[in-house]
Amino acid sequence: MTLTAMPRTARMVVPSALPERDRKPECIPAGHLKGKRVGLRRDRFWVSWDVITDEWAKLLEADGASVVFWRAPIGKGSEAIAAGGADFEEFLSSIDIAVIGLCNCGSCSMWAVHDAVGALEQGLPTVVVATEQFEPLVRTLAKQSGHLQVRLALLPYPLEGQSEDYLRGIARQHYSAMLDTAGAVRR
Amino acid sequence: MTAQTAVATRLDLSEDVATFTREALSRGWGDGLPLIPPTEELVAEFVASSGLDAASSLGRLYPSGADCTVELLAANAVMAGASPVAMPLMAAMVSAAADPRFDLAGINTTTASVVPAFVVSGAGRHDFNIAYRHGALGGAVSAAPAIGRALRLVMRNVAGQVSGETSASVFGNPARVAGLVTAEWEEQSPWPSLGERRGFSGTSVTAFGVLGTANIIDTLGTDGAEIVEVIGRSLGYMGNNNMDKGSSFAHQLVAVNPIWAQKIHATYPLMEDVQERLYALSTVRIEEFPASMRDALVERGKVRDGHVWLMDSPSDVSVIVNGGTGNLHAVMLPGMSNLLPVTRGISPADCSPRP
Repeated sequence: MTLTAMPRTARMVVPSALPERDRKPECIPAGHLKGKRVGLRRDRFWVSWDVITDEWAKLLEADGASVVFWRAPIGKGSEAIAAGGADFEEFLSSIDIAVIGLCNCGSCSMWAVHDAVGALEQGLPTVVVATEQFEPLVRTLAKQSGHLQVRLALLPYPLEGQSEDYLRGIARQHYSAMLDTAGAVRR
Repeated sequence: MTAQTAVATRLDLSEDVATFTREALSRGWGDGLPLIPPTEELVAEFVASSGLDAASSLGRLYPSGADCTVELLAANAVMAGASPVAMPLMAAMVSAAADPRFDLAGINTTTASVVPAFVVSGAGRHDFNIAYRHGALGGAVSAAPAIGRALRLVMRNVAGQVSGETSASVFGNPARVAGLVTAEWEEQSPWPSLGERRGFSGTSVTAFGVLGTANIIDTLGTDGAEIVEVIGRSLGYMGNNNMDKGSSFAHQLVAVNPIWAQKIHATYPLMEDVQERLYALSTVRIEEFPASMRDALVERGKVRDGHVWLMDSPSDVSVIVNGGTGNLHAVMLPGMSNLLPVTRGISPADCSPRP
């Protein structure tokens, strides 16, 4: 008769500590656009996003909204500046709807989601804008902050390096879808 | 004061390495290599060696935003095969990586191939058995791979960096498995150590965000001026992250062999002079860039005197002395955009999160 030794067990310290986040309330819809102040968050990475937001600004104004631009800074060693600081708080307090982009790389997605969470926690209707390649990353990062159902508008990839005419066309083509994602009503 | 957080969860699992490794992989804790089971007894030994409380936080790690406690570091260090002796060093490494100046959120989520690289300075190099001679950046038998792997497992299990999920890194990096931990051959260096230059007189560790290693060869290497010219011209290349319009700043790291260090020192006695020269040499003429890039580079302020500048100032490059005496080579470790190197002294007080 052969005895097979069973592997011994021992009490292990679990090496993982990914925090359980409280599920945050769902983002409220943007509602009627007319008379609202729409904040367009730009970054220091993507020239294409500047063109698209420039085109969206014209369309938003044509729909009766006003537009506030804010460019996220890169703080050389300053956590406060990297997080936006007082300038970011002022931006959030000056708008009714936040359009946050552009998630088009890893670190820029991280910071865009970071700023979107800041807007959501102020209770602002918020739509995050990403290129298609980065949808899974953005959803994962938003979930880690407790926002399971982030409003995410997608643009085609790649955008950077495309002609201005092409980008303005993409902006016009995706404008309605972005507003639908935000829960905005044009009329 | 060190923040306190909850103790880690416990589970009863197999002590057999192969069985535990399979279980750990199924739970997302592993990197594909065998893992040593982190029993309570082993983890307690590692915690004791740190000189810190098990529940002390070494800092918050991103993208998860989880606090890395000493106990969590210890559990990952056991799994990686590190020695408990290295706990004070590893605690300082985690603390440095958690510093906001290091932008771990960007490092761990970016499409780039960046990885934290750690340079140990001071007498502790010997105690911790970190390689600094031949094969200093990888290949020498030392404690560095296990220490580096411990930090990589922390990034996976605490910071939540998972390829293809939270990490968009297109290629990753070989150093994302066993890390990149090295030291300086201070006895052969004509300059003060990196740690001393950064204000730490004892043993310290400096974290850099690097995009890999690339060899720089000069088989003539007749004098320091020529060697520095070859290094400086090599540093400034068109595809360097900090020559992209999206990068505001980056810090470059250069490892110089001891023979070259002496030659360079004969020409440039002060490290500041070496840095000044590398700063001036690492530029690329704007005309060499594709036309589609030029306007954006000008608009983002990266062009001066008709050149795209790799660095904002001479302090944006660090030079260390290590490697073998085979001469002929230096190594550049191009820096990731928008983060700064961070140094920590190796003592419990230095590992506390900063306010």
